[in-house]
Amino acid sequence: MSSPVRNGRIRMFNLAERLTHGAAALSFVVLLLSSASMMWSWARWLMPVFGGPRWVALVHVWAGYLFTLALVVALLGGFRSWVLRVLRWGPNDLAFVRHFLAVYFSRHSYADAPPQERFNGGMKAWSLVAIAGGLGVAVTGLLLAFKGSVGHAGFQVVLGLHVLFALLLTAGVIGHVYLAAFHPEARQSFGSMFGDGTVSLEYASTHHAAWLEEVGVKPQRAGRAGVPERAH
Amino acid sequence: MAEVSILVDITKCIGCKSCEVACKQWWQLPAEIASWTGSYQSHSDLSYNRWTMVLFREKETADGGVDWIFRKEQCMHCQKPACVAVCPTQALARRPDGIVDYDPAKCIGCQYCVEFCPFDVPRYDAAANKISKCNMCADRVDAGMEPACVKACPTDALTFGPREKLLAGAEARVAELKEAGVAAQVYNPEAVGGTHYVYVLPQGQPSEFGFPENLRYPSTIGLWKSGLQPVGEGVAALSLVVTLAAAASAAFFNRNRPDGGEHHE
Ligand code: HEM
Repeated sequence: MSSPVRNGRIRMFNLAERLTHGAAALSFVVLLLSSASMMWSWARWLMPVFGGPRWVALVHVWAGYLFTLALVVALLGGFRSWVLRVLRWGPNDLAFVRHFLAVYFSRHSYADAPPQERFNGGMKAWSLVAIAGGLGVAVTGLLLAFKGSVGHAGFQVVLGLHVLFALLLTAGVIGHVYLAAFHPEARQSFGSMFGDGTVSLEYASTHHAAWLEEVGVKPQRAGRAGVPERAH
Repeated sequence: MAEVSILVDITKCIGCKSCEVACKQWWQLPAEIASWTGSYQSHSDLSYNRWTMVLFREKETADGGVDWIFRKEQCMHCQKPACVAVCPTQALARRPDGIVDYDPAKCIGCQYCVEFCPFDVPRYDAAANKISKCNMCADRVDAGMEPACVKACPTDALTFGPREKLLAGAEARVAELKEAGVAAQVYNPEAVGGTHYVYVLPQGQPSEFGFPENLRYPSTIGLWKSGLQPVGEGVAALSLVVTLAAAASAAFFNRNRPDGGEHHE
């Protein structure tokens, strides 16, 4: 087997993963903003973006179908490479989670945690939250879209649950997007998820050393991503 | 502004359907040809283009005869309208005079009103992606006229006017009927805070006239609006605040790093 490293970069997310994630991210943004324009009067000005009163509720439902499709494809297609892996927790994952708040606030570096797999403890936790929350909004959303499936009384209860799941998932997405797009250290993976799927060997060495070992690549020692040397 | 109401005195209704036709005519609603319903009732149900209709019911009396019941159906204009509470865009709004008005331009077709109305009144049309219902001819009322159905009623089974006056009239009429041996009652259900369509019903349960068996204001509105949604909004807001703090913290720690912070590839 040839080395997975090309020009100092290694593939982290394959095309299927990037497409399903892109579909989920795009549809989520549409779902969040369209529902905001309906649910909160201070966001009403956004409604024309989604076609105004005539279309906004329908756009929301169709974006919901896309989100559900992306989630189901990711769950089925990535059952072994993603679902089973994020369900398997070891001591290093727990150690990462203990570091997480300090990493989130940029007090600690990713390098302060013990070696992580392709999905580190934080990514595993977020994956599980995203799966649970995503299934929650998707299932309640489908019940609302297919009127009559649960009757009037059922609809009324499911609607409240849908709003709750959606807002809890939003709370998670806020943190996820901060890490993925703005966090000084973590945002280096943005270009992999929304680009060609690769990260630099250097990034992989500091953030996912256990993964490199698993695929038989020697981690680089020098150059920790985004952090000065620090005594431990 | 004083509240208004319409009083429907079932004992005076002759089932002529003038109200149905007047409503169609005033609002220019297209006719809908239906097949025979098995009685003199014109159609089986309200629809997007039929905001009021007379329900025909037959009821066997104790002496083996038949009571023929005519009951005008339409939006009840609740004092505490569930539809207004759940309408996300204020397309449905309760006016100070008690009319539950409807503005189709604001309607997004979400159909929450259809799902929450305790009287099962609003009707949705997929092609228009809107609902519709009686608005007590709010435009006519504003112009000092009575609603079209009231105007057309030949027997004064329908009367329009200040709520207090009509309620007093309803009580007087019930007393009069009782004196004549009819166990009449006023239908102005407390479950929804009272309604601006008030009925004088002859003897019998409201359900015999096609009203809901167990009328209730949906408690699920409280569960959603004062429970689940505020909890979710709180968690999302907390996440946003913590994240903004994290961003500020990142700026602080990066500035204080000897190598100037950020890593460049
Ligand atoms: C809306 C904007 C979004 C952006 C910018 C974004 C960005 C990213 C990035 C850059 C990664 C790779 C992270 C890494 O390699 O460290 C990632 C992974 C992931 N994203 Fe997103 N994402 C977004 C929305 C979503 C949504 C809506 C969901 C699901 C509800 C989601 C679920 C995931 C999951 C499960 C992973 C893999 C685990 C992880 O990396 O944490 N993302 N995302």
